[in-house]
Amino acid sequence: MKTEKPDFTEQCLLFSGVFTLFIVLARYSSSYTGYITEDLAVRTGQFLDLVFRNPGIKQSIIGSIWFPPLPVIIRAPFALLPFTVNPSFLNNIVSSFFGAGTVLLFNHFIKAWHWDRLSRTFLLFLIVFNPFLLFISITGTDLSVFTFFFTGTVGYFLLWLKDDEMRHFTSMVFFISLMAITKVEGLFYGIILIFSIAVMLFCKKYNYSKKESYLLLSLSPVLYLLFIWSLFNWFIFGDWLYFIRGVPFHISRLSFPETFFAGTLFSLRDIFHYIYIIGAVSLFSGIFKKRISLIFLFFFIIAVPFSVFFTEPDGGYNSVFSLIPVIPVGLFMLLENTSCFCCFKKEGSIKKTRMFLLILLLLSYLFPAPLNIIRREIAGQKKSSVSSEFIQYIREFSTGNRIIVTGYKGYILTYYTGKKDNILHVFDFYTENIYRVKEPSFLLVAEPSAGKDWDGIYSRYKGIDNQGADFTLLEKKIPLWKIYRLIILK
Amino acid sequence: MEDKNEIKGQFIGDTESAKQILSARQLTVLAILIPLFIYAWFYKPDTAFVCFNFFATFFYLVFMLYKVSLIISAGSRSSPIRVSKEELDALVDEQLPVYTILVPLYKETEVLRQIVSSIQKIDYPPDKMDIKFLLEADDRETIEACKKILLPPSFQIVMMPEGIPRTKPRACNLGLSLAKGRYTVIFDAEDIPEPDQLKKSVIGFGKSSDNVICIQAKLNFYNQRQNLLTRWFTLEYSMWFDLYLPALGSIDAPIPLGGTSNHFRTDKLKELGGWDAFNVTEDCDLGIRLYRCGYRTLMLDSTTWEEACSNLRYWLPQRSRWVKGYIQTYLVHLKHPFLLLTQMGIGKVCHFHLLIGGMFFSLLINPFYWLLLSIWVLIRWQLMSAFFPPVIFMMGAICLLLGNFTFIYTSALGAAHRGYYDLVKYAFLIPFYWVIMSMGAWKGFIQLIARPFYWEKTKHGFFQTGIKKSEN
Repeated sequence: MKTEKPDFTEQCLLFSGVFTLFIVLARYSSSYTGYITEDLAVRTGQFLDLVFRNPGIKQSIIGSIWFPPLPVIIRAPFALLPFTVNPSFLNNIVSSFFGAGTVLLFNHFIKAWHWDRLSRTFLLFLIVFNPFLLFISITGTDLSVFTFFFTGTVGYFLLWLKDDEMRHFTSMVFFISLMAITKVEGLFYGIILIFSIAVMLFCKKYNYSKKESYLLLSLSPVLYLLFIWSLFNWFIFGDWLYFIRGVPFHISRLSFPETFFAGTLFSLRDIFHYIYIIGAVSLFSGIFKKRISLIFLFFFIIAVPFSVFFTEPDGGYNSVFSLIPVIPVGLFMLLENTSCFCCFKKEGSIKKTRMFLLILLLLSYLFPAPLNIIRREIAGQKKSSVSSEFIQYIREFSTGNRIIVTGYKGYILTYYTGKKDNILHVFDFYTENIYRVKEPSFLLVAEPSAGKDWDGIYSRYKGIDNQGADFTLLEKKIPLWKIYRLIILK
Repeated sequence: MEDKNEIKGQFIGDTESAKQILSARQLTVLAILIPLFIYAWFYKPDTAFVCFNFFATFFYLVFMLYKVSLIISAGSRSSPIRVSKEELDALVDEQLPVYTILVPLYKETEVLRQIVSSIQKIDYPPDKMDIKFLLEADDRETIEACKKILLPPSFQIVMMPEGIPRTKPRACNLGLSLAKGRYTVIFDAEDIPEPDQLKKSVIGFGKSSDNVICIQAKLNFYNQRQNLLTRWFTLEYSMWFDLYLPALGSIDAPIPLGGTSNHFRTDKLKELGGWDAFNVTEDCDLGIRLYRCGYRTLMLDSTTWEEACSNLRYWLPQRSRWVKGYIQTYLVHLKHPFLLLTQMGIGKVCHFHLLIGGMFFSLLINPFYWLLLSIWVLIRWQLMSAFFPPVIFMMGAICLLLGNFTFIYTSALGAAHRGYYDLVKYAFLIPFYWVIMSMGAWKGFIQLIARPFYWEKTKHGFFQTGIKKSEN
């Protein structure tokens, strides 16, 4: 089955429309409700370190110990324009851009399955207003970037399996490669995808040379980009394996579930999300050959209990709910391939199936949101001003070669480093003031899982005070649909 | 008596020709720029270097993005003319037009039998083929060899008169003046075209609009696995003819023609004045020239198999000629830059700069940056930081880290796209090939100054000789 020719005007209109929507909502929410994530600060800081090679300021974040380079590179051109960095406008641009890109990809895949315009428009509407996608597209995390590459990966992977065309294969490799350097989860997804490709190649009736070349073509970009990942670490920290040997990693080992081994399992759980999707698709589809279907069915059976078992109880984004943005991809595949089953071969059954799946998609909106809500007044109950406390702390301890660790949960502080002059700029989003702090040599901002023993963590690391850990947050789960109220009415 | 120094076989004016590579205006600009450059280099070396560095790095970045965009175009649009078996079967021999085949030969005794046999295998009525072997009068060996093998009647030997320049395009021009066919194609001595290529071309012309006056078949090698050099060469050709050129065709950009298997509407080609006899890549020049005149080239999904030069000793001169020719073409078409802009439009002029200028410029500056990188890796020369301010550093890092890999990967893709799966792994060694490409480029650049019209003859027949030896 051939994909339809891309309609440039339609794509432009769709992209610009969705991008505008996201960016407006993003600006509104970040300036009004105070939802700003730390990704901006970290990535921008990394970029400035990289480009200006500032020897004084080194910063990282425990959540980003793996130090994926792509989010930094994406922000690089903007980071040279200070007005985009402050206050978080850069992040809004990036996340909205990739959010709109994700919608564009969905549109492309739906078209590949020949949906009529009306159904397509309706489904796109649901995708655009999918709370998860909306959330990540307007709050400026790297998740938006990751979701874009993940969607492309899954979509092209399935298109390649279906059509066996080289261009789908190369598109898939492109998306896998970039996904692998966007987030550490992407790295694991990438590894498992390469494994899946190897399995596919084993099952396909290709000759040895073709199998070898396809494996090389899929493996080489991922490996090369991992090399760049290491190089990126070396550029900034002078250590190729900083993400394993560096200070943040050791701290993260303590803050993550007990041991590194547990941390790895934590990531492994995410891998099963992917298998879960593929498994579900292959279960219902007639597109794969029997043997391949059985392999995926096997993974699917294992994946479900694993997914449930490892689901994070607080509903953070590293949970099974991160499936939500990829549900539509699975649905397309499912939908098209249900026609392979005899019970769906009756005339009109496709339409009914589509309706059923759309309803399912709508119901998914009632899942708990992957949000950690911080209310300003409650955060301030314990400390009169969280941010001023933080700034006071930095002012006090940031001179010389100290390492500052400050812990918090959620999206409450954002900051960025200055250029060249070893001055840390701290942005207080409550007052929208920027503070300058002279010569901090190291800044680590921890993003621990909920309720960790911060005093214990700090005391285990030599020379670190625990004063920065004193933030009080309110964590609360809300249904996803309430995000609209939050954005519009708060 | 023939005058040995008389210009013969040149039908285009000097302003369009590489006979006068630089116009007076271009010379004036160079006369200002070169001293300025030297002055800056000696009196403000750091600033001069940073400026040059910025320009070169920016060029690399744009060039990389351009090549990537071409690959994406190649993947998303289908541009080569595809002819189905049904269309071929529907052709009636009586209705086929006369087709002229020009085969310039110079010291090609090793492959003579092969080209005769290849043309005989072409699926086209012999009485509708006007085959002309273009021989140089002093090439006794080839003339004798032609006599020995008793050419079929449809083959005609045309002796080139004495005169200058002694180049392939001159021979082609003289052959063209005698062409009887509605269409004309050039084949090189070592070529093996697919038997149905002429018929496909006739259908292709029939399907295309009137302004399409040239159809370029894909070129590839029959000795791709002979040694490492031919493997690399095949990777390069597969990328060029299977990815880049179809992509250029799909976006209506000018196509620099390959040296052989270009099918033309004869009348239009004559109207254009044929090839530039002074240009050592007359094919590339013609591709640009016909585009400027409002004509178009399309790619044909048919392959002509050639012999890849398997010996570095002969490969380098071939490459040097190509690069020299590309520089000639670039300079010739920039004699009147505003006219070029008017004729092609700004977008297509960018294509011209990147495709023709970019090709040789990248090959020429590559060694310089390899040297810089080596110095930095080996001795960490701190002074170099001053030459790479943040913006240049960032662009340079992207080119170094992503650009190089992108080019390696597209080479691998080209091979896979062609179906040469066993060659994919050799793409990962291709940076070594870039080194010899740059050596060839510098040789060509130096030769442009010393011997601008000298035609570095590519020696063929190594593969055939090798086969004969192994058979014995």
